[in-house]
Amino acid sequence: MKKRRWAGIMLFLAVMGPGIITAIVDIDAGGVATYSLAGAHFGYTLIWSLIPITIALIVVQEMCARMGVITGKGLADLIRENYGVKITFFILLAIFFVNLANIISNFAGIAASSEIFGVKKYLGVPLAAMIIWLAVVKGTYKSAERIFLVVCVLYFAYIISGVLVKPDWAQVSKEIFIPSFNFRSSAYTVMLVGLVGTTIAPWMQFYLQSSIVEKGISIENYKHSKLDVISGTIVAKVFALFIMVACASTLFKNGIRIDTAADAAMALEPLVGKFCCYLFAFGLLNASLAAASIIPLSTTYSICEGMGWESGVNKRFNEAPQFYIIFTGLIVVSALVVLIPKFPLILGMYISQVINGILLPFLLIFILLLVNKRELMGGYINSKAFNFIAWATVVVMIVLSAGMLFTIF
Amino acid sequence: MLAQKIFTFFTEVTNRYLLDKSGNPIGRIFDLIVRPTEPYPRVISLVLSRGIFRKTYAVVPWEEIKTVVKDPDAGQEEYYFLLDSSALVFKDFYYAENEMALRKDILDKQIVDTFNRKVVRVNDVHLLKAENNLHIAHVDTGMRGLIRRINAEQAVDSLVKLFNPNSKYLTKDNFISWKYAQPLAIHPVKGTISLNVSQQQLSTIPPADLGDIMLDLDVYERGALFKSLDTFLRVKVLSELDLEMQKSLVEELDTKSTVDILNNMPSDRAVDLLGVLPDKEVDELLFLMESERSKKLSVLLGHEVNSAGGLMAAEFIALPENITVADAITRIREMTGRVETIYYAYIIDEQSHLLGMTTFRHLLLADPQKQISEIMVKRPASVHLTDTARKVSYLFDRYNLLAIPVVTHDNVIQGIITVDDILSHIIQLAWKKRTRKPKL
Repeated sequence: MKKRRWAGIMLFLAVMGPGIITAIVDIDAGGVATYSLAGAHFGYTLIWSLIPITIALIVVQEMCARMGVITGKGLADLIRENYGVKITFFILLAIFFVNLANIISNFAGIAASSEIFGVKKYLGVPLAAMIIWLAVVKGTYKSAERIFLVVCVLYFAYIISGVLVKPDWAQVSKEIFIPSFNFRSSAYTVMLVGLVGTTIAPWMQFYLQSSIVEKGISIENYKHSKLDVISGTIVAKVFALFIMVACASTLFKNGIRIDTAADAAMALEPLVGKFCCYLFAFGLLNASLAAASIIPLSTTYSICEGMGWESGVNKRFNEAPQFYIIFTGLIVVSALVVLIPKFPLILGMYISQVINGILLPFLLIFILLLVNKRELMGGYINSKAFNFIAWATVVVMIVLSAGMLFTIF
Repeated sequence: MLAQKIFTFFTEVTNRYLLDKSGNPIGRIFDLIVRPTEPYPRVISLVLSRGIFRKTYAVVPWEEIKTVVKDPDAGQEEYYFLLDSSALVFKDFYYAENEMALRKDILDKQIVDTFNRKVVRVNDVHLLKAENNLHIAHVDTGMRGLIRRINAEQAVDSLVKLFNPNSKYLTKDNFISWKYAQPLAIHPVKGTISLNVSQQQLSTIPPADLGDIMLDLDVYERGALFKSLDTFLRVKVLSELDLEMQKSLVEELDTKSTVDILNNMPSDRAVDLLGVLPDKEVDELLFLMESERSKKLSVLLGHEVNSAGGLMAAEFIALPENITVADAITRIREMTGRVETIYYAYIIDEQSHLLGMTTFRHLLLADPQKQISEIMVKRPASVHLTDTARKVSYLFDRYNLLAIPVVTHDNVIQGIITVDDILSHIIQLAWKKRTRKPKL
């Protein structure tokens, strides 16, 4: 009995990775900023939203993980083979621009956090871009996955800073289970929509499904993979909770307004000391670096996969020119954009959120249609009950994305 | 004679409507069904579609269609239905039983390009018009095909011409002749891929390349393609793949086919493969195998993986000491099909004690009438069953060997290790990182 449990744990560890990495890297620079702002401006009154958000994310990610295991194909492949090249082309075109904006915002995160540590962005950003490029092109999948798992552990910086600021835990545990709607305040609604929007990003679905395919997880081990997705998402949202709590119990209490995640880190210094500020900034740097490595790679693979171009870092340039051009282009352009003095970053992020809001509903509908195709999924299509939850999630997501578009304009 | 276009594309055909006699559209041409057994498959029927969100389909035999070239300059064709269009029944689905539907089975799918030996995705299908028939000529895997599919060919063409009239883009087509295109559509019942009978191009691909192609496929295509190969090719391909992959492929097969593979593999590889299979399965497989073979493999299975015993193969050339060189050569000629290497022959006594060795080269150059014991090298380098792979590779290097015999404490020969076995072992150690980097 004991032996069997051990075998189970070992199997889980072997299968673990894709789910946890996807969920945690989802807290990228934009994510950290949104959670910090939510905490700093609305105190504990928004932390309840993390529970429904976690459930929605698990529902979507589980479907992609299941498709990856059962079909052995990536999402772009499946869309192309089932809906033709035209639809695939436009989805991938949109993905390209959304992800480019995402990468830019993460390079901006790198710039801001490195300046907190006293490194000028004109040094920090090109250095980071180079490290990312080399690590991805010269590294291997195994070593990359190990690095990313370590990166996931570094997110504990946020837990530590959340503990250091000594929040009122009794109140936190009360607020998290009791939704305190405050829809009369339009700022509150906008923030809520923003929290949902930052959580479910299109790249995650592509990345999760492809990395599950790449790991070659078999149907027998699917339950471990499911556990990986569920536990990964929960752990990620615990990190998010600590970010919100840290900002709520310091900045909100003292009525400090912030605009970015870097603001939050610096505002922490006079309140709780330099160490906490550094921890927060380190968390931001870590999150931005992780996302700035994974999102370009995932984007490039999705595009090459969908368009049928050769891809892979083991290929030489003349074997897979599109792969190298897109990957390098994404990183170089993003790094350069951040280095332009007075670049309207906030505007860029808004635009990216708009395309994101338009794209996401389509993508979710395609995922649901695909996962319910019996000729693809056999006996593993959604059950009626699960379909109900999934469609409800999708509808809520569509309404919220539409709401976000509405609030932006 | 009007300059008539003799080629067309699937995309061009499926952009058109089928018209009735009075020129009213009956439905959009959605798919083409071909008979795959012909070398250049002929289109035998059209699939029409109606509706946008809830599509319905009707299958129309090619014989009931008349093609008319309306404007010879543009080469645009119109398709007329010769019979009464109200007789057509539109259903929710269509299928091609023993035929192939281009949109379902070829377009946007992966195929194996057996000429360039890689897996590619099909963007369009190039069709040849001959005597009122359409035949598949090529599959288009290029950028132009991709752009044609999103209806932007003319726009992009004129844009490219504007900037660079001599651009390679305008003249270079990435076509693969149908002869070299192996579709990967999996038969829903048999679970195999129908290999093009007339072509058999797949068997011309060197096993190493076939192994690489297998890695580019998804799990199901890989399994189906593997199932479609004969035992000989299966054995060859397996030897190019790592053990995990071998295991997953073999698990797809029935027991009999697995036994066939194990019977035809070199014993060292067979043992490696058995080593990763579940114990229960191994017992069953050994039970079903030829008894001689099964005994040999059971013994080999008892050795540590990284010891000389685990690395060795049991097939080698053994000769008695009291024969002539001429006899030896005849015997080797009879044995060559079943042994790992013919370059070395080992001379043994009746109890299989290792007495000496000789190379094929020495045998060829020696006087045929001489006794073999006169020309053999006495007390050749050998390793013990439990010696480590490290020691084995050291001896290979020290004596510049191609193979080394493995013996027991009593000097009874058990098998040989060939240089390629030890090489792949050393390469594994040296290249800890995987040579193939997966996609994300």
